[in-house]
Amino acid sequence: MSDWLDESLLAEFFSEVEEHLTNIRQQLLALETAEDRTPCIEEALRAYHTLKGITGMVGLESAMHLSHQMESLLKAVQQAAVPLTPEVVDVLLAGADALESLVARMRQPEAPEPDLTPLLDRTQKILAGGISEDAVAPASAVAPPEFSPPPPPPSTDILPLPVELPAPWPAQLDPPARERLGQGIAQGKALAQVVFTSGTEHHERGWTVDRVRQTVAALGEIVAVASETLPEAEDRVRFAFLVLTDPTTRPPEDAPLTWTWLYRPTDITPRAAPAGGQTGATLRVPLLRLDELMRLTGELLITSGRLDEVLSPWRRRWPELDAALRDPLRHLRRQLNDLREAVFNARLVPLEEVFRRLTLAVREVARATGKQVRLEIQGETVEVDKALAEQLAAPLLHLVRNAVAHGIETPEARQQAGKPPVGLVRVAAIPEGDTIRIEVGDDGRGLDLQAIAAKAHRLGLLPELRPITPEEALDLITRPGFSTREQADRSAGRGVGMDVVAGMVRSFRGSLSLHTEPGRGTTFVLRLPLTLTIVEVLLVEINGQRYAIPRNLVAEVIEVVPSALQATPAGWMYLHRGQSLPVVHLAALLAGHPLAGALPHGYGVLSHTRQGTILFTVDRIVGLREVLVYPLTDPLVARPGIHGATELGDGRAMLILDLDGVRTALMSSWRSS
Amino acid sequence: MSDLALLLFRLDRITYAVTADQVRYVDLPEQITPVPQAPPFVEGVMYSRGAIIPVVNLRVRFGLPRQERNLKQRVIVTELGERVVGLLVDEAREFLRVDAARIMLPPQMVLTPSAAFLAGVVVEGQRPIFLIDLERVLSPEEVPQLPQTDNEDATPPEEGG
Repeated sequence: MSDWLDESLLAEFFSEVEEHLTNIRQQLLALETAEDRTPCIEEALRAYHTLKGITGMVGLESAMHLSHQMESLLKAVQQAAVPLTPEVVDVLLAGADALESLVARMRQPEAPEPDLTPLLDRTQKILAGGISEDAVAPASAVAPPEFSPPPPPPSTDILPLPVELPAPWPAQLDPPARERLGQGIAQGKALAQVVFTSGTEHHERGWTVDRVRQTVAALGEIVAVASETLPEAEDRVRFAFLVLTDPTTRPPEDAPLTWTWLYRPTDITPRAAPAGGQTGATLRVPLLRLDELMRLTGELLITSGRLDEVLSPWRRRWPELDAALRDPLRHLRRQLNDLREAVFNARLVPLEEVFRRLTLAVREVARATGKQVRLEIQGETVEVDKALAEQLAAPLLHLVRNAVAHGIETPEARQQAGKPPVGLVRVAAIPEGDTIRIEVGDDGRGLDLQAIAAKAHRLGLLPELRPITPEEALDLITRPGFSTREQADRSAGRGVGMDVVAGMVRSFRGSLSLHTEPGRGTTFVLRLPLTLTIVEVLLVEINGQRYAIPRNLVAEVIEVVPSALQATPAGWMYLHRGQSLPVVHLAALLAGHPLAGALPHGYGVLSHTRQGTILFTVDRIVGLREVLVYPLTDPLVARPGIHGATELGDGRAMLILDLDGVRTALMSSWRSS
Repeated sequence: MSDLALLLFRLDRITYAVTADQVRYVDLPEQITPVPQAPPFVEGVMYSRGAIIPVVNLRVRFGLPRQERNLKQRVIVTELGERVVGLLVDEAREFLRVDAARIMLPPQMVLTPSAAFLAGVVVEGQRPIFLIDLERVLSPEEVPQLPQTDNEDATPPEEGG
């Protein structure tokens, strides 16, 4: 491995590899449903070709060799020397996976070396013409239903010619030739017809058919050849070559050939972009630069807020100043918000990319477990922050694999249960205001609550063996240590368990829930906030310390009227608009112990938490502010009631409270002390 | 003869060190915001160079009494894998290169609370410099596994001799 490669080159390399692998997977998937598969094959071929080049450049020999094999396979498919069967697609996908592992090892040398031998063997066998037993004929019922069988080879009168050709060409062109013609034209090549009539006078000067053929072949690609004996002179044969060549090729001057241009590229508008390829001008921007933009924008917002704060007493004193400042400051504020939104949008990516990987996974697991599964996707155009999309991939893959491996029953079992033999896994992304709801569901057998309870009891997570509710089941299966480590079954994924899924949801301050019905299926629901980084908060003061409360958690702010307080055995209650609301005295809660005899006072923040509407009392309300959220993920400070931290522009870190979590988390530790 | 670069810092009269490759930079302790329900040795979180990082009070971690905030204190911003955590120390000044071969295991008889956090010791110009085990220091556990010693009756000798 070259150690002269510097950091930036390597980063560039990794990002490029990822891009090409993604493209390959997209194209291979598109193959299953595309009407015209040529552009997909071509894209994949180009991608593997590039991968060969760049892996070679960084000295990754095994990856280069593998890319070369995949490239050869694709070329063979392109030239119709090898039919495109599900097995071939499998091999190509497996090649992409293997490449990914090989490249990943550059970053983590301790990862195990993938064994490429079986894959390379299979590839060789296919290339050698022997298709292994795994290949499935289109009519077979064993193929998973969502893979439509490859279309029958087009007959000559079905596949249209991209250009009008004079006789005898249309009849002379068989399907591979027509395909090649189409490709060549799409690549911007021109088409020429070269005619040579044999005869003694040419033969004397050394011009035989072979020499003509060589000459023409040097100028371009011979797509087809036709010949006919001249009726008037039987010893003369007229040969015609159909040649794909560059539009700038000049016909040979001294050869006894008739060169006719049949088509040149300026006559036709370019073909549409290949299926699944990227259209529109894009610029690959490293996520780090977008993060930096985000951060700078956030700081601009903070400074703007600070400016407001500093100016406010002066503006109150001097009305002329106030009037003069009003418009410019308003514009500034609005423009900063626009900027913030634009930067945020730059980080948005459609979920499509994440969902595509799910299709692959479903296929894999279904084949491995002998099940038939259909994947339905809804909402792939929904856009989320790139960081969120990246984090979603692993948990979604896990849920989907689980659904196929454990949720969906075998076709026989399903038929016995009166269900269609093909199971359904549904993944949907539904925006709901400023959160996104992601559902992963199946129509399988549902969660076996009894089995979960039994296992939890065995592991000591459930004190007594008793019937459990779906909510309790969710809580149990998301505990670390619950997932089966004994069977690291590949189909359900290694290293990602339900505990990781729950952890990811938590780290994004989202929620995870499930519905399950025995015999009908299971659906997991993830709710995640969309705006991650800049939020509007209510600044409050508690015990002399400032805290921030996300604006979306605040339903109302009131001044605590002592007469509305009621002491009850369960704690304080507050009568507000005819409703009796439980009161949480935040000062006491944050101090970590009940302040003896403390009467809630000051101001109250009304919040609709998961446990109902609660009034949280604070000492002072400072105001509303837009802040940049810094997640507190370090185990030393990550706490359920703390949403993150922020900085107000004065160099002081400030905690952002999550009112839902604050109460439960702090109260439970409070009770135990 | 491979050299190891160390950043030296002081708690009370004892000199400790952390390997330079684990140090991002050294900062002045600004306002540190306490975090409710965090372990007692977590001083809080601090805004530093565009990020908000947790700060460990190393005195508390090593079982020493707290110190009033003063101008000599520093926060050593360390990195451990993906984590970035600050260490609040009495003083942090010099870098020192030592021959890695001269680093010895920490003496077994040191039974003070800090013993659990030491990775080694090297003697440089009469004074012992104790290398800390950053991973143990930053572990959220109150008392990470102590190095094996069954000598429970021995009275801990005075540190720093």
